[in-house]
Amino acid sequence: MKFLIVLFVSIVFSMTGKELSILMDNRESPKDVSSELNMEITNKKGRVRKSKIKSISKDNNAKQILWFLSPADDKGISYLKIEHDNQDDEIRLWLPGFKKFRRISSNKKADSFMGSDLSYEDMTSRQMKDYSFKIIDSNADIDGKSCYILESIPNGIDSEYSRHITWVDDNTYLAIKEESFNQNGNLLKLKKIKYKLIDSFHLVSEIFVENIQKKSNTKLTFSNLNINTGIKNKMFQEKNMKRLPRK
Amino acid sequence: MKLKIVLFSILLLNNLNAEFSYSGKIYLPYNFNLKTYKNTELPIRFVDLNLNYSFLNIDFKSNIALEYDWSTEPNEKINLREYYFSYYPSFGEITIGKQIISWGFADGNNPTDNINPYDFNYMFASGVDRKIGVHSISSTMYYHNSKINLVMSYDDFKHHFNSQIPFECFIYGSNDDGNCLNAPEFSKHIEYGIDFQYNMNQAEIAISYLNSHDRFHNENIQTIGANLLYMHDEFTFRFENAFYIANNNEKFLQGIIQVEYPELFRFNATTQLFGTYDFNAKKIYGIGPPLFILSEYMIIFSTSRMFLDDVIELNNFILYNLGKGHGYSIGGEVNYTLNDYIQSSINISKFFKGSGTSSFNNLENHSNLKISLTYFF
Repeated sequence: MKFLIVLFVSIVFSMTGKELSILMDNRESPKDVSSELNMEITNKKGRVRKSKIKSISKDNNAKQILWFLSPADDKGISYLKIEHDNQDDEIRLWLPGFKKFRRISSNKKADSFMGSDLSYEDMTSRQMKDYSFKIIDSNADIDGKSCYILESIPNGIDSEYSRHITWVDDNTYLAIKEESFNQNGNLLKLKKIKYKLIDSFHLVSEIFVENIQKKSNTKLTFSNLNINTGIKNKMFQEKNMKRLPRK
Repeated sequence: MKLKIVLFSILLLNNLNAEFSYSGKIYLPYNFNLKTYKNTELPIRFVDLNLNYSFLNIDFKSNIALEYDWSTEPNEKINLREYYFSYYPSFGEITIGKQIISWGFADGNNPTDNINPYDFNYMFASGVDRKIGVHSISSTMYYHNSKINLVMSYDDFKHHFNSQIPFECFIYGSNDDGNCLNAPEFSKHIEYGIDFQYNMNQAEIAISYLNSHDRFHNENIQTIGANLLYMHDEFTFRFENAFYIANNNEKFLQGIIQVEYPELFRFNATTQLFGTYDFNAKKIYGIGPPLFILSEYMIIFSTSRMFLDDVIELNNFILYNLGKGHGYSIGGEVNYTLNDYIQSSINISKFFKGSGTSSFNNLENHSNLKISLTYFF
């Protein structure tokens, strides 16, 4: 009888992958975030290339501008991304050496972002309608935190990945680790994400991405995080890419 | 006088507690001719310094270069390539001063980008390095998905000819003694233009008009431009066309089609097909990008890829002259990043002469190998 009750409870309260992804998607996020990023790209020989980036974003990262502050040969380059629901995302680069804005295809998702282990696809939010979700383990554990393991498979979209396996904290519904597999089904990237609690919001404080095939990795560390500072929509315009933000 | 303007601006903005930033590079090349194995003696831009001040909605920007030219006396020259103020109102941007302004959709070879003359000593350089700043007032206005650029300039707008390649002979002809005829006198005058751009989901269109002077003959020439950017899956197509009407009603068209391919084996590949169609033009006009004067039709296929964990960048191109005289050129560049500040490069450009005479075939003697070290700051 006891066994039947446990089975009944687990059937009634077990969550589907879709429901978990909705909970992840519905997590409250700040209206806007500004931060400074330190990007460290380490190649397989251990050589490190560091970049410093200023970032502002809005609407859960659907609008974002990144300004490169260093290294010196990248200084002044900026990146604008605007995600759209019903049309292709808009990605532009400001190239000061050419004095030109360059619109690039948002379909070139697999291209590396500024030589890092992050691709443009990694920098873009996943649309729920484009994936099918399945929980493959409800009782996983990572670093003492109990987690769900969620499988996400792209459906009918161009993607560099065939599937993602994500460890999701079952308390906060935050993704804390992810394995992404290439189109051949081989593990391509391992991502680990750390968060910082600011005003009841969990904000990403560190992203570590390891490219298993290339044996290189990229660590993004976020500092000077400011939220809800009233960044306006019009900030995400081409003209603001030309001007490094004032301190 | 120009230096005084820059110094006064810096002093003023310093007193206003404006935010100062700088960037630039020190460039140490050795460029030798592959035929003679001697220095090509092309001018060198040793130092490129950008000084910027930001105060409220205003920026002061300048670009100062230290150049060395074997053909001038003295050889060293401080070149104030740009010095201008940018004001950022809510609708966009207004700039005033000596500046370089870029129009057009294609990469590098833009028929509609004629606001600034070119320095042919740097004709194979990339980006704004090839251009000469002119005194201009320019504004950019944004409205929803549209962008309008207005520009009015006052300068002499004269191309600087290459000190080693005798373009003057090709353009102006030569006298009985075989000496090249000189360019006409260039006086300062006003030029103006407008560029309207509209952004769509997978495409952008632009139309433009520029009333200018031809940079070789100093005669009025009007440019009507039409550009299209179209993205389909991982392909990007950039079309750029300029229809020119010269003072004596001579007409010609310059166009370029650029195709960017999906990344293949980590190679980025691009093809540019470009050329000039003459309706009734009787001479070579100095308008449009420098490569357009070398031939009626050309095709360039270029690739780039990072190797050895992004430490080495390899760029290659094959350029084929489809027009008179044929001929082709191959080139390669290897950039080795020593650290965050220093990059070493080896760059080779080899020209192969085709049949007959053409300005492209004249380049055969100018194949060169360049070794350089760049320090970025």
